[in-house]
Amino acid sequence: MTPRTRANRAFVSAIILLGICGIATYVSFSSMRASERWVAHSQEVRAAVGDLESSMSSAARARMSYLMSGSDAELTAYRAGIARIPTEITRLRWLVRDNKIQKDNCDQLEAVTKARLKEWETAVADKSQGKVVDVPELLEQSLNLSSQSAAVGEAIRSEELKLLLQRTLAAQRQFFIASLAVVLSFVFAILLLYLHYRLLTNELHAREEAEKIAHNAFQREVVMRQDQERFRLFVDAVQDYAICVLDPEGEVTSWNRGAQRINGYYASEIIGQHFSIFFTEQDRVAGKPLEELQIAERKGQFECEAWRLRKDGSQFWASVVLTSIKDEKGKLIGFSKITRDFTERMRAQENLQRANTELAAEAKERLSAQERLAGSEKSLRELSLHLLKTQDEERRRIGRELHDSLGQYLAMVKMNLDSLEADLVGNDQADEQVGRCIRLVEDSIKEVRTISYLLYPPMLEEVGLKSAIPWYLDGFSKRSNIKTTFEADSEFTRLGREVELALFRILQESLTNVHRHSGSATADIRLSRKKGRVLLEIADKGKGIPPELLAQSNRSWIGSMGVGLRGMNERIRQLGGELEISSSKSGTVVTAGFPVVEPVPALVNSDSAIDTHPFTSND
Amino acid sequence: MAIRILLADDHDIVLEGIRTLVSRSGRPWEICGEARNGEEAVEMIQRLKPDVVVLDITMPKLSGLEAAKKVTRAGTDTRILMFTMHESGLLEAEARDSGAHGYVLKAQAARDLIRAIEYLIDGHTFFGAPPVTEPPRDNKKSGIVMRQAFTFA
Repeated sequence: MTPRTRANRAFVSAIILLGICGIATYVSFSSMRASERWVAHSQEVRAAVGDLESSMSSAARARMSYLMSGSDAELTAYRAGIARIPTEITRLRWLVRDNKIQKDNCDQLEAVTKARLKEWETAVADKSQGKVVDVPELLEQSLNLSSQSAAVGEAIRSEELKLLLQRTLAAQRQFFIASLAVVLSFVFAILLLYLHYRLLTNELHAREEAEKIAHNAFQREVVMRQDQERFRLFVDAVQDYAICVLDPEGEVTSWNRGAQRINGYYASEIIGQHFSIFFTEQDRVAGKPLEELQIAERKGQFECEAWRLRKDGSQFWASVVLTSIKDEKGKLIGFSKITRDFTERMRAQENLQRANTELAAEAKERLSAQERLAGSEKSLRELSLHLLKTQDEERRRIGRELHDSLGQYLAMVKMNLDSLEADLVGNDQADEQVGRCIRLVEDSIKEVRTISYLLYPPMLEEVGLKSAIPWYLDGFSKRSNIKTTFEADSEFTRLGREVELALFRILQESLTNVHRHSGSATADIRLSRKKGRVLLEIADKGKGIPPELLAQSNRSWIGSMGVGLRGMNERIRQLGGELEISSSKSGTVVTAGFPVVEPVPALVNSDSAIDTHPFTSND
Repeated sequence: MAIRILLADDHDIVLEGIRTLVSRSGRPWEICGEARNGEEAVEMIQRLKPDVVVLDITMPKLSGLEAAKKVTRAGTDTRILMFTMHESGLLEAEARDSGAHGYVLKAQAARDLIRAIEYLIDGHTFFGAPPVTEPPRDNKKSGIVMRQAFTFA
C-alpha cells in the first residue's frame, strides 16, 4: 500500500468515525433533552394537580364564608374560584393525555370535583334564596367528597412522581451516554489527527530522503561527468604517452595527442585500423600482435619493450603496456594501450652502459695500477730495508775487516817495530826513525779503530748491548766532549743480535744528533726492561727538534730527520718495535721499544742467537 | 819442565808474531798448540792443559770471553791471558769477569805480552796496562768512570 493510499484511507476513516461520533453525540443529546422535557412534564402535571386543588380549596373557603356571612363579595370570590376549575381540569387532562393511568385518575378527579361542585352549588343556591343553611352539616356532607378528591389528587401526584424518578434516571443515562460519545469522539479525533500527522511526517521524511539521495546522485553524476571530461582532456593532452583504446579485436577506437606525436598518425587516420600496423614486418609475421592481445586478455596486462613503427616507417624503441578492459560481468570490451618512446632512453642507457664498461675497465686498470704501485712501494720499502740491512752488514764486514785484519797487521807491524827499536839501542838515528814509524803505526791503529768502531760496534756481539753501550759512550764522550750517563736494569740480559744492533744504531744516531744539532752538554741513556718490553731512552737537554721537522718525520718514514734515524725507525718497525721521539724546547727524548718474547741467555753463541732471533717482521 | 803455552787466534800473522816474540824473549817456553777459533781453544785447553793460554777475544764460533767462561766454569789450572785489539777498560773488566787472568793489547804486545805471561805463570794477574793511545786532548772529563788502576795483585 502506498503512503498516499494509506493517508487517504486514514483520512476517510477519520471522517467516517467523526461523523459517527457526531451522530451519536447528536442522538445522545436529543435523548437527553427529551428526558429533561419529560421531567419538566411530570413537574407540570404535579403543579397542575396542585393548582386545581388550590382553586378548589379557595372556592370552598369562599363558599363557606358566603354561607356563613352571605356576603356578596364572598360569593363573587366563590364564583371566580369555581370559574377557573374547568380550565384547570382541561389543562390537566391535556397534560396526561398520553398516560392511561393518569387519564383514569384524571377522570376520577373530574367526577369527584364535579360532585363536589354540585353539592356546593346546591348549598349556595339555598343560601342565595335565603334558605337556612346548616354549615357543620354541610361540612360533614362534603368531607367524604373532599377526601376522595384529595386521594385522587394524591394518586395522580404519586404516579407522576414515579414517572419523574424513571425519567430523571433515563435523562441521567442519556447525559452520560452523550458525554461518553463526546469524549470518545474527541479522543478518536485526536488519535486520527495524530495518525495522520505521523503519516504525513513519514511521507515528508521519505520525500526528503529521496530528494537528498537524488541530489547526491546528481552531484556525483556531475562530478563523474566532470572527471570523465577532465580525464578525457588529460588523456588527450598527454604528450609523452601514446594512449589509445583498442576493441577486443585490436582495432583502434580512441587516439590521443601523445599517440599522434609518437606514432605520427592523426586520430582520423588511425581509428578503425588494426593495431598491428605499429608492429615491424618481422613481428607481424611472427604473430606478435595477436599474441600480445591474448596475453593481455588472459593475464590482465601485457608489458614489453620492442621496436615499433611510426607512420613514416621509421622505428622507435617502445615501452608498451597493454591492459584488458572488462565490463562488470567480466566480459572483454577492449584494451587500453599505453606506449612510450624510449629510444632516447635506450640510447642513453647504451651510452651509459658503454661508459660504465669503459669506467669499469679504467677502474680495473687503475686498481691494478694501484696494486702495482702498492707492490712497488712494498718492494721499495723492502728494498730500502734490504739496503739498510746490506749496508749494516757491509759496515760490519768492513768494520771487522779493518779492525780484525788490517788492525792485526798494524799491531804486528808495531810489535815488530817495538822489537826493532829495542834492538837499536845505541843507534840514535835509526832509533829515531823507528820511533817515528812506531808513532805512525800507532796513529794508523788509532785511525783504523775509530773508523771501524764507527762502522760497527766491534764488541757488541761479544759482550752484548748492556756492556757495549758504556764502552761506546766512553769513546763518544771522548770524541764529542758531551757528558753521558748510563743506567741499566741489573737483570738486563742479552737480546737477539738484530735487536741489539738496532738499539745500538738508535743510540749511535741519537747521540750523533745530540752532538750535531741539540747543543746539549749532556746525554742520559737508560736501558730498561719491564712488562715484556725492552726500552732504550736517549734524553738530552738541548734546544729540541723543530716541530715542523718532527711532524714531517711522523708523517712519513722518508722525512728530513736524517736518513740514519728514519731508516732505523723502519728497521725497528720491521723487527716489531717502535720508535718515539718527543721533543720540546727543554730537550729531546728518543725512546725505542721492543717486545721481548724470550730472553736470550748471555752464554749462547752469538751466531746461534741470530738463528733463534725471536722477532719477526711486522711488514 | 818447560812452560807450555797455547795460542788461540784466527789470524796467522798474530800467531806468527807471538811465536817470534816468545822465541826472541829467550824464555824456555813451549808453544804447545795453536787454536784458530774459540771452540778449538776450549777443546785444546781441556786436552793439552797448557800453563798459559793466549786468547784472542774476537774469534769465529766462540769468542775469547765465552771460551774463557767455559773453561773456567769447567775448572782448569790454565792461566788465561786475553790478547786483543780492543782497547777498553770495560772490556778488560768483562774479561776479568769471564775468568781471564790478564789483558794485553795487541798493539802493546812487544811491551806487555812476555811480561804478562810471566806474571800469570807466577800466579799474578795482569790488568790495567797503560793504553796505546793518549786520550783526546779536548777530553777533560768523561761521563764514564774508568777503572784505570793497575792491578798486579
